[in-house]
Amino acid sequence: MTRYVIVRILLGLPTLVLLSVIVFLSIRLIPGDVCTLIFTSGGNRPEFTAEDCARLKNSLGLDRPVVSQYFDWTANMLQGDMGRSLISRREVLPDLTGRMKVTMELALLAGMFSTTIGVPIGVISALNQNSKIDYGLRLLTVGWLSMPSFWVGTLLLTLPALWFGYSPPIGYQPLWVDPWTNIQQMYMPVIAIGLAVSASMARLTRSSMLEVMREDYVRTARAKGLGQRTVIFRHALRTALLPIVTLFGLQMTALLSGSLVIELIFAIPGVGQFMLSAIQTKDFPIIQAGVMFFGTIVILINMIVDISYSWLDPRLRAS
Amino acid sequence: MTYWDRTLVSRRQLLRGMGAAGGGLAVLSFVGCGGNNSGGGSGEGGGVGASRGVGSAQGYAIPGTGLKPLDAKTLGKRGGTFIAQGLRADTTRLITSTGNYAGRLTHSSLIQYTMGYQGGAENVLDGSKKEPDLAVSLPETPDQTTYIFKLRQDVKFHNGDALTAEDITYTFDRMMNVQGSRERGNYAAWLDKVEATDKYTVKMTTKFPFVDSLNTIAWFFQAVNKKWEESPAADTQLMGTGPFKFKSHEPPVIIRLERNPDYFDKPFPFFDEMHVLGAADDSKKLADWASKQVHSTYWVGEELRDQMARARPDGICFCIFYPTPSMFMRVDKPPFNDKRVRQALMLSVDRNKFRAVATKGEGEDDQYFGWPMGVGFRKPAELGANSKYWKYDPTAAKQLLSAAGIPKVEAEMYHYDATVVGQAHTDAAVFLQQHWREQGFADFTDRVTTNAQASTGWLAGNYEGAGFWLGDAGGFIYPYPWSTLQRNFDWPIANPSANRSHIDDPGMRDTIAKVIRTFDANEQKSLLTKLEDTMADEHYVLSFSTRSDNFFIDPRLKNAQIPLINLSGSLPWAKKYWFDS
Repeated sequence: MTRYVIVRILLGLPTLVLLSVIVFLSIRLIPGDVCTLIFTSGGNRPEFTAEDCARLKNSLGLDRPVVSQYFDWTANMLQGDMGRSLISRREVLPDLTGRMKVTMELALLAGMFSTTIGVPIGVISALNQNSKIDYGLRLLTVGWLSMPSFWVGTLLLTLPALWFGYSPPIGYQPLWVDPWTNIQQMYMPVIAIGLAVSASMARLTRSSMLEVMREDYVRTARAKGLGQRTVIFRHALRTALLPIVTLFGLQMTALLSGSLVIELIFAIPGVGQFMLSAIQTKDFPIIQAGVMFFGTIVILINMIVDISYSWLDPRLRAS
Repeated sequence: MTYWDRTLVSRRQLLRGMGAAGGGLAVLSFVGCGGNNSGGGSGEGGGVGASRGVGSAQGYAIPGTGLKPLDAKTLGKRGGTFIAQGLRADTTRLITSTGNYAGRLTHSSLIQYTMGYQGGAENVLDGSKKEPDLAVSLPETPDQTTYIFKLRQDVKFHNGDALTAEDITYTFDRMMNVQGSRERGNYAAWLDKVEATDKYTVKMTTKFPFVDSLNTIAWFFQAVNKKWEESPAADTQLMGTGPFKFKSHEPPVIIRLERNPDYFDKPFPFFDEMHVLGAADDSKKLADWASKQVHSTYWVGEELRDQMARARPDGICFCIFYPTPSMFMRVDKPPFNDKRVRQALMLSVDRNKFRAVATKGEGEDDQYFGWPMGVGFRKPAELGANSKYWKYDPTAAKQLLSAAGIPKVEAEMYHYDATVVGQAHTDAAVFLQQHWREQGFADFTDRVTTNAQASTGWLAGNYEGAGFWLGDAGGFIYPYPWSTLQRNFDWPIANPSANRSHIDDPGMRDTIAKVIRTFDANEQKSLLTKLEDTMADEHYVLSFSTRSDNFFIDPRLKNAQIPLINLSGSLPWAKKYWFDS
């Protein structure tokens, strides 16, 4: 198992290196002059001379060869220095990690919500195949899948405010500072993005359970006189969870990178807004750092998913 | 026996259920979408009381007490947290020299506008509309190019440093020279130098007698501390001499400020804290307002105004019409360099239809000089022979195009994306393109941009063709109209980004050069009338109609003012507001 984990980690490193090269080079291929971007940030256009521009580029190290810039950037990144925003001059790493915590909380809560809702729905639906319950739940999940998260979010925010004068507390309080306020602020966005994910979970759980329930060993377990609960939770569900774990990993990746619109609607200071603003203003340090951060997290998530397979499936552990 | 025979749910039952569910979802999707069909102007007279400057729309009356400042020193009460929906832009940038609206609360200027100041050409020469802030009095002016400010000697920065004249000269220097300073453009054309003649005296010299110099200082100047500004902390915190001190910042969501107990202008401020909320989705703005979590909104368009008014009938609406929907063009290049083309475009717009799309049918015809010059300028109907350009006359438009030798105008039209300033903006731009295309006058290629693209692109004069904007917060009466005039029309000198049309009219430039040096109100009026006539003939910028900007104030908030010089909503005088209970 340890060897398996080490191998998985080592396999992730070349991916990260390749990602760093791609992101570093591709950003520099985007049209747009750094001097214009920086001097004109804020909406006006102060005059600047060629000397101003040369001085700026020198201070940012942008007048050196691209290869030197890459190795310096990589070396700094490994030491935890991701540079400063070209626009705000703030250090990138504290801002990025601060916002990433918010987005990760949102993604994790949404993931937990979707699993908590989706898996039981899938199991119930599978156990009551072709009944009214099954049709009803399938209709519900199709409905959830059809509703865009931004629309659900807008309704969740607007309707209680208009009907009851209720809205989540403004601002953002971290979970470890004020858990109750944090829950009040996060539950609506969690539901907004979690509903569609839970629908996917439910549908996959249902089909996976239906397949597993037809297996010989499940029939044997029933024939031996084991109770329904034991058959489902001890024998069937564990096997059925394998594809669900894969889906969870994929969904987490999507949740991390796709929460921008929800962050905008609910005014959550997450990484989505941060990255969008950086992309719009071609703020290289933030874009580079953000992409590398995401890449690392995606690789880690997939690694955890792979490792969890071996725990769920003893056959993989043995091999 | 088929599958449907074996199941407990029949095919018919299933289809009925799905139909019902789908219908329910469709109905639900229309709930809460708002929309107000209860009125709106006919387009001729606009909404109720629609007029340039203060007015009312859709029956939202502005209470008289809302506009008259109260005696805050006598009546004000300490306590509470004032929460304001702030600016539209990203609150990430806190660097004072690059401009930040929360800085109006944490910093002070040499002089400030008196509460309730409404800007405009008629008011800028009125000395009673300005009062000292860091200065002990309005400046001495031995001549029209020299201003001597005597500073208060009891002012401290939030870090405890005493304010001296060197801080003032440093601030000017930083505004003029720091990389990325957006303030430089506001001063470069007219400011000569600023000197500290002693510890508490500052002498400012202008390059020529400039009538807007004090207005510009009152609006833009925010005194900073050299030691702080050159420290890393300045990147992430605000520190000045203002009534509120910086507490925390979570970009782009919220800036929190707390009362400065050592503020020099006692007994202000009254609030214990102020929270300024950053950019937010319309639904978030509505939800926060409806749930009574904010005490003042930022500007909202017609659609959101009506939803907010319905959500809280007790809210006080400052609903103000101003002329702004406009299109600027590269008038230095074909096809727009021909006046007849510009006139044809003016004649070929049915403004009633435009208003129906852009402003819910509200508003009235208006001409460019309604903004930024403010009250007192002529309506299109009063422009004599040029008033015809506001009447829909496609026949005359066709004749003009033929005379110009252009069968159809073909160009690009730039405008904001809907997420920047709202859907109405995009709808209006698309309407114009369609309207002209259907009539065979023009075929514009649509170019949608983000805010960042616009600020370095078409709004900065870097475009080909035309740019359209419906206007947004700050499209009100400028507190510094002469400065704005010069920037908007004085190509290529003062600030190219403001002269978006690349207007190069020596006659206009000459008139502007005179008016910005004229301190005589009658002469100013005469020169502005001349400019107004020129614009009404040349149409360097196309003007269509007025639209409304709307702010809501919670009735618990006392003495709140929304000036026509807008830009920061309720923030400029927040130190003089209080809660009644």
